[in-house]
Amino acid sequence: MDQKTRDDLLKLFQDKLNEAMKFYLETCTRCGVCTEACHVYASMGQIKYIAAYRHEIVRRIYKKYFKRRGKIWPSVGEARELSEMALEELYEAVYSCTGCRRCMVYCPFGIDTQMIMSIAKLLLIGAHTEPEILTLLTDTSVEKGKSLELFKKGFLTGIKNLEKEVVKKWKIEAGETAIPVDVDGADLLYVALAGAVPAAAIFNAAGENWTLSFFEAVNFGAFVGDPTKTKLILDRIVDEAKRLKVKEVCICECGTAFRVMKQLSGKQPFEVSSITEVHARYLREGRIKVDKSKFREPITYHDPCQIARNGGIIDEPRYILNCLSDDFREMSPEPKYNWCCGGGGGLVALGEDNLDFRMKSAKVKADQAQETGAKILTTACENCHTQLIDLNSHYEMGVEVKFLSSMVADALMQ
Amino acid sequence: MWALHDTFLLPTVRRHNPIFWVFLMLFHISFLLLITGHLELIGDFRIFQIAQHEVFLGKGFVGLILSISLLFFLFRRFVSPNRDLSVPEDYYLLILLFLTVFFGSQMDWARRWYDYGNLPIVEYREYLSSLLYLKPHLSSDLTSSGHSFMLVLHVFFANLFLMFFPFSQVMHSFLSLPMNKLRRG
Repeated sequence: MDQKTRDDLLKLFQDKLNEAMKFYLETCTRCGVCTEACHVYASMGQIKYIAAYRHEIVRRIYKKYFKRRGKIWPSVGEARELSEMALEELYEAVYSCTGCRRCMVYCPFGIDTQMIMSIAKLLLIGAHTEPEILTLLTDTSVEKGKSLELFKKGFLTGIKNLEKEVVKKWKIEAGETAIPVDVDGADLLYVALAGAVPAAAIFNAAGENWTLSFFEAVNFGAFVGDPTKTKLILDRIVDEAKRLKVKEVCICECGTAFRVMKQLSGKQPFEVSSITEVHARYLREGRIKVDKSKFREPITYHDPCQIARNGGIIDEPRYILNCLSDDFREMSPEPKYNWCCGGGGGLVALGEDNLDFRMKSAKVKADQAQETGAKILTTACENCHTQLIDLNSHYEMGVEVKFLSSMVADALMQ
Repeated sequence: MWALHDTFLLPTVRRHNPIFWVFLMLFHISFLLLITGHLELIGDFRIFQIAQHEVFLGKGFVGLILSISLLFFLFRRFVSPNRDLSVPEDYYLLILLFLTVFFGSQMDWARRWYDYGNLPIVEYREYLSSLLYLKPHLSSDLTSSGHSFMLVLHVFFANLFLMFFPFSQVMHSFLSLPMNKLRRG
C-alpha cells in the first residue's frame, strides 16, 4: 500500500472519530465478557469472531496512527500498521458481523461493536475492497432516485398490476383505489419493498388514509457502510414525506430501513413507525379484526435485531401474535438476548457467495428456533426472512417461515 | 440513574460471568477502601472515621483481597479465549498493580499481623502533606527504618502505574459512567 492511499484511508478514519467513537475505542478492557455474545463465535468457536477481537483489529490501527503511545511504544498495545493484510483482517471482521449488537448488551461499558465496524466498512470502501455487489446495489438504488420521472411510469404500471391482486384476494369495493400513490395530505406514507400487497389489504381494511412511497425501503448504503449514500437514500424518503405532508412514515419489514429512518433521520415533522407497530395499533383500536382459527399450529417469533434490540419494538409483535394464535412460543426468555439470524449487516445481500458462512454461523439460531417446537416461524424483517428460509432448508428444520404482516393479512376478517 | 447502576454494579457481568463479577466487585470496592486509607495518610478526615478504625480499613484483609483478585485477573488472561484477546498492556498493568499492592500490603500486614511496631502514621502524614504543598520533606525515620525498602518499592511501582494510567485502558474508571449513560440514552 502506498503512502497516498494510506493517508486517504486515515483521513476517512479521522472523519469517523467523534467523541462517542473515541470512548468506544479507548474503554475496552478486553475483559472477555462479550465472548459468548456473538452468534458466530457460539456457532463456530473461532477467536476472531469474539466482539472484543473484532474491535481490536480496528483499535490497533487507531493506536498506531491516532495515539502517541502507539508511536512511541507500539508493541505494548499491539498497534499495527494499516496494510493490505490489515485490510483483509478488517474485511474478515466486518463481513462476518451482522451488526446485531448482542455484544453491546453483554459489555459492562456498552461498547457498540457496530459503530466500530462502521470505521472498518468505510476503510474498505476507501480502498475499493468492499463487496462489489453491495456497492452496485447501492448505486442502482441511488440512480433510481435521481431519475424519478423516468421510472415513475413503470412503477405506476407495476402498482396497477398489484392492485388487481389486492382486489382479487381481499374484495375491495369498486371505485376505491387499492394502492394509492402520491396522495397529498395522506396520514401515513408506507415505504415498501418490492410488492405491497398484504400491507395494502390491511391499510384498506383499517380505513387508513395512506399512500405508497415511490421508493423502496431498503438502504443498501447502510449495508455497505457508506454514510453519504445512506443519507441520499434516506433523504429522498424524508423529502417525499415532507412534500406530501404526511403525519407518519411507516417502514415495511426491513430492519435496516427502520433503524436508519428512526434513528438517523433526525428531528422531522412526522413520526416513524414500523409496520408491526401500526398493525398492533389497528388491532388494539379495533380497526381491524383477525381470525384466530386461521393458524392452528404453534408459532414462534424471531425478533429482528434492528427492530427489537436496536429499535425497541418488542411488545407489539407479541400483542399481534397473541391475537393471531393461542399457541405462541417465546424463543428466548428475554427478547433482548435473542440470537441474530446471521443475515444482517448486508450478509444476506451478498447472496450465494457467503451462503456457507451464513449457514454455519447461524447454527445457534436454528437450534433455538427448533427447540420451541413451533411449526410456523415468523419474523418482521426481509433479511431475517430470507436467512431463515435458507436456514430452514439447510438444517431441515421443517418449519414454515412467514412474515408477521402477511399472517395478519391472511387472517384478516372482512 | 440506571447508568449509575450499570456502572457500579456491573449487572451484565453478574449475569454472564458470576465468578468474574464477584472478583470484580471485591477488587473495585477494596480499591476504593485503599484510596480512602491513603487519603488518611495525608490528613485526618473526620468523615472516614464514622466507622471507628485504625488508619487503613479492613485489618489488612483489603490488601489481601486485592492481591488475590489481581492474581485471578492475571491468570484468567493466561487462558484462551481471554489470552487471545489480551495485549501486553493488559498484563503489564495487572503486574504493576499487583507489585504495588503487594509491597504496600506488606507494610500493613507487618504492622497488623507480625507485631511490627515501627510504622508511625505521623511521619507519613508529614511526608505526604509536604508533597502536597510542593515542599517535599522526607523524615530520616522513614528512610532508615527497617521497612524502608518495602516503602521504596511500593512508591516506585505506584509511580510507574500512575504514569501509565492516563495512556491505558485503566481510563475505563472515568469513561465507564459516560459510556453507560450513552447506552441508556
